[in-house]
Amino acid sequence: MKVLLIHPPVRVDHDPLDMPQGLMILASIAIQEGHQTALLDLNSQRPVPTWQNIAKQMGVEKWDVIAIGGLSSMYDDIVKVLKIARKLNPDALIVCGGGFITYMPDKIMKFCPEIDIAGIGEGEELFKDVLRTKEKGGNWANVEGICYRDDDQILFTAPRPLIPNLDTLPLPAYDLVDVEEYFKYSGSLWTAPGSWQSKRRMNMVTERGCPRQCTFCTHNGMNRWDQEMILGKDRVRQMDKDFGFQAIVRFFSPKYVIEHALHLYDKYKIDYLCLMDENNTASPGRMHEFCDLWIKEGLHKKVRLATGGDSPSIKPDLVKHMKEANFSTIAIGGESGSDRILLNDIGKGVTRAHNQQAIEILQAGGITPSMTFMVGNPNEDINDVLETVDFFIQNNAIVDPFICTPYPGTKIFFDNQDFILQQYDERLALLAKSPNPNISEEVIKKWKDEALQTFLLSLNNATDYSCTVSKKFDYADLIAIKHFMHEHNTDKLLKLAHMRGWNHDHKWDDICPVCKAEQDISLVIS
Amino acid sequence: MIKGNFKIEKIVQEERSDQELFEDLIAQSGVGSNMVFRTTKKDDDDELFLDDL
Repeated sequence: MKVLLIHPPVRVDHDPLDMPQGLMILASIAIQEGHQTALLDLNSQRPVPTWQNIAKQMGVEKWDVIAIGGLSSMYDDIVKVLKIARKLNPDALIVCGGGFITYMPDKIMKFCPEIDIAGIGEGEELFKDVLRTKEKGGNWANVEGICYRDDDQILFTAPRPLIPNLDTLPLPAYDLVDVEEYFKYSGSLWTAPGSWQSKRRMNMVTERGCPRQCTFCTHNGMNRWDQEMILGKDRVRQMDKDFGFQAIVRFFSPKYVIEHALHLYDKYKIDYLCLMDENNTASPGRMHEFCDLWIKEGLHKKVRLATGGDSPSIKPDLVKHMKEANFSTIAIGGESGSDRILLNDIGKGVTRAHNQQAIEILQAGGITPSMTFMVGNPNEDINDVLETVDFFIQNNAIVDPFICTPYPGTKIFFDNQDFILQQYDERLALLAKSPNPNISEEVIKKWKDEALQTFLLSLNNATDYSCTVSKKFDYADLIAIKHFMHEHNTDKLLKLAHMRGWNHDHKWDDICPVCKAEQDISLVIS
Repeated sequence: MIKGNFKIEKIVQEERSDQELFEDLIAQSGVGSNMVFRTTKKDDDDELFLDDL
């Protein structure tokens, strides 16, 4: 069969940073299965190609299978790609996977009639089954972990267990990507000395899942937390019995990763490798083993490294070893300077003290810490915001925080669905304030579906505002607060608190221009 | 771009005018406070020219 995999554009306001590792592994699988396979990477160029050009590229062959993957933030472009793909290939099987479809496959298939099959969660074994089933005529009921169409119905099959050993997966099909085009943007990762000087940077994913269970985060259906969110705890426990424990986090073995890296060095002469993992320091023993092997192979003299981790696992001995292996930076989700938000809203299990300690250990060990923060968690108020700005000031840090965005699949999405949809349909917002028994459930359901589609189309990178779950701030507040946090402008934040009638703690009185003015006036009067 | 494990016709992006490239650039990265006049309507892109395919 002729198989086409399509990678839609990502963050078009930024240089392309990462090759589509997931689709490249699927491409390897399709090749292993004996298919004529192509990858259309719409993200490798800036500006991205015009839609007319994209249509021409898609139209060079008649495809039997078209696979499209992506995140929720790419939904707007995925919808357009789907329309072109179906128009050009009326008889092709169109399969979609990835974060954008994993958490509500039936809804997305309803919104996008072009999709034949939705893959839920981990795609490799699933895609192999889909290709084999397509060749045999398409008895989809026996393919685990998908949604498929049967006449007018959209049906789910039995859930698919996680792949127990990631080392069984083939390397990504680098030959199907314009590697040299990506190298043009090697210096666009500005997280540490070394990364922006890189000439031949590549990325690799060596972990799936994360032991932390943050309310704003998902893992594309590839760990236990996500399975529980999709299927419920009871079904996941049943899968434990049937297939073995469904893991919270899985890693490729250090040996596999080193062999992969050696391949990249030998073939492409990479000088920088980003291990794009959610929490690579969460298993210190594995990281030590990785560093030992990396140094033993002499890669520490040729390739600099970057990865992601979490604060509690950052210890001096681990940092020393990672420095020896030539790690230049570790990215950590700091999220907030307020323990109330870190522990209660985000549920990260990490405190401000953990974050502070991690920064100090990394700086002392010669590795640049890179920490991201956010604003707009459900119960975050002006005092929590000020705590976060205080953390920035204490650490002399420049941070433009993300806006806490309820991407599908996150706990904050499931907990706030009605509130989210009300932001996309004023009729729903008005009915929430004044319910009207004359409007039927059916009509409300229709409006909700329309609002959901509008919400999905609006989702963007969390550096921009799409939607909020904040109970304290509206969107105008959030955009202003984000800006003033970036500027460390406590004056404006505290004045905003007085303008809006938000009570700030007395601990901020000494730096509050309004409180100081009130004090001065009362002193003069007295 | 498209690459495969078999021979595929390469379609390159048609030569684009400086004005088009400039408009794409500002649409993607922002232009600051200067006003820029687009020569084409954004809506045309959204229609995807499906009827022409």
